[in-house]
Amino acid sequence: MIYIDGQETTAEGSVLDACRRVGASVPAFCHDERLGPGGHCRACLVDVGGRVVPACTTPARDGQHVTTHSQQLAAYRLDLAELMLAESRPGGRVGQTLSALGASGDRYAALVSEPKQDASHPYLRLDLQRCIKCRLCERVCADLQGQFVFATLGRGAQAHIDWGKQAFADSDCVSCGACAAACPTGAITDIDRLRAETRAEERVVQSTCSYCGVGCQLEVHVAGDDVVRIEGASSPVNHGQLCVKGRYAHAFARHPERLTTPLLRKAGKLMPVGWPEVLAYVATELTRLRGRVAALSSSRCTNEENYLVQKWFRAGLGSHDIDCCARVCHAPSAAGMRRSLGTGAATNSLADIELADLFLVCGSNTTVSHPVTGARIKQAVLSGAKLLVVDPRRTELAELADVHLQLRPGTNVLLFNALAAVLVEEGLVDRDFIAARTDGFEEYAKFIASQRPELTEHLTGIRAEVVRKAARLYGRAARPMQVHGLGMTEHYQGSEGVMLLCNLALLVGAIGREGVGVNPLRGQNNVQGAADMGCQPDLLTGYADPDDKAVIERFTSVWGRPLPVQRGRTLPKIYQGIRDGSVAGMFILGEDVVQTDPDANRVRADLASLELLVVQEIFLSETARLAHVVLPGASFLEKDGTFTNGERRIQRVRKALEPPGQARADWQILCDLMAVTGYPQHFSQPAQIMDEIALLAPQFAGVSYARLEADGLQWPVPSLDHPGTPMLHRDAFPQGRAKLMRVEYVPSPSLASSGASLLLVTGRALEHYNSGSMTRRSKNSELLPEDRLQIHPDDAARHGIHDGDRVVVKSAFGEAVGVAELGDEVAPGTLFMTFHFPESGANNVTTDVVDRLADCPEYKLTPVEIRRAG
Amino acid sequence: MTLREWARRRGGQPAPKSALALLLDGHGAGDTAGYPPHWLESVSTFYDYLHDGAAERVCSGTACRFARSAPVPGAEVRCLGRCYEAPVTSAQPIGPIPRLSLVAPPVILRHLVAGARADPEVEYSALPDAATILDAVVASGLRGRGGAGFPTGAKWRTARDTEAPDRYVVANGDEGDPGSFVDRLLLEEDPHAVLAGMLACARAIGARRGVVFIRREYPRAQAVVREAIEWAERAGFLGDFFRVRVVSGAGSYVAGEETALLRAIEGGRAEPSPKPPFPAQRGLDGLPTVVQNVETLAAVPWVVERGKCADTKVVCVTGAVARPCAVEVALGTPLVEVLERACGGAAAGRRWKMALVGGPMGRVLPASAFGTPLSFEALPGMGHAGVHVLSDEVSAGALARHLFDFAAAESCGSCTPCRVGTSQLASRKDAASLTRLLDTLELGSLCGFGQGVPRPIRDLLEHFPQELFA
Repeated sequence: MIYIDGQETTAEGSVLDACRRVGASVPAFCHDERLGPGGHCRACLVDVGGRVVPACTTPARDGQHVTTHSQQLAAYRLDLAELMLAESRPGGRVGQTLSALGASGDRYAALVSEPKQDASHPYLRLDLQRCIKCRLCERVCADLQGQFVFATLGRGAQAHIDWGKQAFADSDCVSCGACAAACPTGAITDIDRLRAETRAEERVVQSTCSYCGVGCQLEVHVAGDDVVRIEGASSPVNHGQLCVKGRYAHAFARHPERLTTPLLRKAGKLMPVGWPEVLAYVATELTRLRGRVAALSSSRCTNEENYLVQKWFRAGLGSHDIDCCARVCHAPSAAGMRRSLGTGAATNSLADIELADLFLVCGSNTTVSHPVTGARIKQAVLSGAKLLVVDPRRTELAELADVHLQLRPGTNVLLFNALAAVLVEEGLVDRDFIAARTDGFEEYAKFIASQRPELTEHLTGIRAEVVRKAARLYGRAARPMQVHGLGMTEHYQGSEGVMLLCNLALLVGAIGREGVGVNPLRGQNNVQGAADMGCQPDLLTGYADPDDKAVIERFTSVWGRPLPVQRGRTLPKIYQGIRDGSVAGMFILGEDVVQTDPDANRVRADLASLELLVVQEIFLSETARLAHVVLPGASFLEKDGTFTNGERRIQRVRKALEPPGQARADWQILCDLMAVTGYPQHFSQPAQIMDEIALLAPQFAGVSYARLEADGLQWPVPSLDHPGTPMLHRDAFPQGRAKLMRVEYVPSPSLASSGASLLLVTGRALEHYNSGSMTRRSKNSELLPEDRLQIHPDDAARHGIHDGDRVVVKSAFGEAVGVAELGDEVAPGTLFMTFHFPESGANNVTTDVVDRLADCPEYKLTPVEIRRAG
Repeated sequence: MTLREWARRRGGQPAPKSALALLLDGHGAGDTAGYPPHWLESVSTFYDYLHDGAAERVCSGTACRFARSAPVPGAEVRCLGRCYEAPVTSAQPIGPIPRLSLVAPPVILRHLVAGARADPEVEYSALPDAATILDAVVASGLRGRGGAGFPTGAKWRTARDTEAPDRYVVANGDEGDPGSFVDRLLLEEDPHAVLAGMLACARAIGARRGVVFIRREYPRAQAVVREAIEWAERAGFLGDFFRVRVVSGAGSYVAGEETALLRAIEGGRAEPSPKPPFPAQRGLDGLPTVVQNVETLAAVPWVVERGKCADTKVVCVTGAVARPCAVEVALGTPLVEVLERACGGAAAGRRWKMALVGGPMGRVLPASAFGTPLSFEALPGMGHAGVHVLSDEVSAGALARHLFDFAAAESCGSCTPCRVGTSQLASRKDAASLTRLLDTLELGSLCGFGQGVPRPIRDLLEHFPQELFA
């Protein structure tokens, strides 16, 4: 026990921690609990047993008696405050504290200096006149974000923070805002914080970020009916960190282009109408088209909403033709992992990142697509973990890798078989684990002997010795952790590639313990949840098999309706159905398929030929423009519910704002649609929907809103007293033993049929999210105003293309336009383009090739030709 | 280490030089070797030699400052370790260091005063096994001679007992205190005593790597130690089992603080870090690291051989004495005895007024107190025990201003009281306001620099209050 001004507390952490625990007011300006003590500001001095020491750097010890206030300390703090005022004009909490200490600023002469100011960045503002040199910006940027933007220049009284001679907007900053959040003086701030100074914040709502699948926890600060600022909440998912999207791209919520009334196509034009009219219209049309309707649910929406969509279509409208955007991203992860391991979700948790001693990052530009997780991996690697990166692009992580396996697009299967072949050939496998927990090793070993890297290096483009080096590092690591992204899944052999990842983990026994595993980084905020809820044709809520008698019984009894008999179709097959006339009506919730699905011209034509297209959206997207009915939904800020992140963590989404105009929470709209189509629901709040989910899905049996309040729960949660499952497969696999899969390489039809010399890969940029409907309606568009086409200088030279040129990209399917960005991030022969802006039409060129097992489009491989735009 | 440096290293290329090493080689202007320019600038603006690029410098150390009647223009350096021939500039040829011993036989200067130059092989080959070394050092009660006086054996034990894959031994040859040149003497003229001391430590704690950090102001010492390492490696006394390299400073007083020293060795800004963790627990590359002053290490082989402590200290005496010198004395010898017996008393025509003992963070003794014994107990704060004797031609105010200048110029800027406070010392107009600022510096500063700056000034306030604000 330690005694702070007589108050007792446990002797844990530093004396400052102990002071904070008992609520003693000790000024401290350079302290951040996520970092070790800096000891720079020297404000936190206290008396420990008669010695005056800094509380932050003094470990708390049993029996210590700490005095936080005395005449001596008061005199010291005042003098320190006066010294601070001699070198700065701090605002923020430092400014307030210095005033409270009674500092006037006239005890010491002001130092002569010319502190820099900068307003070049769309969000961040720097005024170093306010800086007290606490170094928090420098430290959070380096030690949490791993970006190293700031450095201290000069010595003694000349010491100051700097970011180089360029404007701040041209620095290495990734706009995560951690510096502004940490700065105690306002020297580094942002436009949201400055706005907060002029508006009284009324409440803070904790919620879950709606951008990527990391699932960062947010503190949404609200004034009136507007978001003033968003802060990172302390959570095992993000530890207070956010990215440029999560922290800053929230202006979309009150954007004037938000849909505020239902729209109904009349005489060819979408006209505003009231809810009764539009609901009646939809009811009539859906009833008329019954038997020929399909639905695409939204990974952007909540679990409860996804659950309702599939319940509505299955039980209400009698169709299994229901899919979600997992189809176009991680369906192959789910399919592949389910076949290999028995469960189609991440085996481990984000917290395992700090435990791993090697990362195998496959087809994931993590620092861009999952920035908070990417930064965490980066920190782990900076602290000594090994890193292997498989990617045709030289990504930021690839640049830091021990081995970068820069393979030719489309050769994943060859490479992962080759890695496994080395493990087996060189005896780097865990024989005990293989014997105890897998099936089929003997046949597998025979097969894999034919896959040695020497035999395939001419196809993958990676020298055999490099593959061997990587395999040895993986095989010798104590805790090798895999993370993979869409570079694995969005391929002709996507699901099979994922099975090969599982093979690698199984061979070295890297499953079912901490710091290892096979971990797909889910793309959208709730793509995990949409699939969990049953928004896929072949699996019901909780991955229940619709052919299983007990399942049918359970669902029929809860839903009060029979399940459809006819099998459902995946999204690509639904599009085919439109063409063959078996689908005439479609309900699309929060997905802009015209921009994001491949072969966009065909998608547009298909949707335009529907008799009924209902789109529920927050903006008039490219897809909504084709609709007969547009229903104004709510953004994640305007409703309650839950999202499930990539580590299977179910987290609360909490309403911070009212939906604009007549827009309504999507679950409410869905309940109305179900009612008008003859299947009324009794739900008056999303918590009740979750209760019904818990009734149906064994993985969710122990989930309730009350239990999700703190840090959420990671499924499976089989009972109300179960704490959730951070790690799968600890003792056994669902089907008992895992399977080592033998997969032969089959070249993508695109490679087989095309003579094109260039291969296009599509993906995301840091600043924008998918179709960009939200991020483009924020100042993120100032950070990145257009889709860029990365091209190697050799290819550029051959085509007479210069940096910044507009380039036409042409495939057998169509044309797109991107702005050339020359560099060696891509190898010669490979192009990379983002798809965030409708005007670039990136998906006009992508192909109709899909994964052989899961129907996921092959976005990562399109043979193209290029030319400079005229 | 910066991200980019690390990224390049991880890319399989040879380990690049640290930022500091690159800058010392003249990089940085156009070629930043992959560093963001402001990262290099962050290092270059910290060190005097990199900041202005001047190679030739005028010494403004205490001895040179008071040996000159008027300032000499040119880039400054705060002590070249040549105080016995003050005033100097770096361009002048270097004269030999006068040395003698009041103890017989001498310990630290055992190879340097008797004329009996030992064969360096003996220093290495006489070392016993690890346990014997550690027991001997612990039993001897040897304390660091760098100024802090920390028990050496305890430090070694901590390093040995901290679980780690490897450990470091660092020789601190950043003799920054103006008025002290014993480290230079040892490095230049008895490098094997220092290296053998390092080897003894390495063996005792289980370290495979060592660094001799030598300030940029001592180029000859750097060259001599490099040669000595090569010789010892050829002779098999050093090798893969204990690999030692020399790292150069670039002009920073605070770099001599042990945690700052480690940052300098890593190639960054020499800013102290809070303790704990102590370097013996977590130092270079995060590994347990024993940092010892050169003088301590030179004594180690002697201590190990005899299993008892050498209760001696080399004192460098300069200023108003007849014969400035480095003299080994028994700890506890009264200052006046050193001045009379070793230095021939006052210089001709000069009357002693006071002495600055232990450099700018040391103590000021008025002449009336010259009977004070030179020991860590009798004269707390005597530090490395360089003694600069000032005659009555020098006012206490002039000495105070010299100390203020030094403090403001050498503060690293990492913590608030020292960064801002040292630059406000000179403008204090009365004793109360000066004392208040000294209190703040002493209480609040992160390292021994800011905490020590007030020490001699308080002595001046006590003994010469009327001269300080004249």
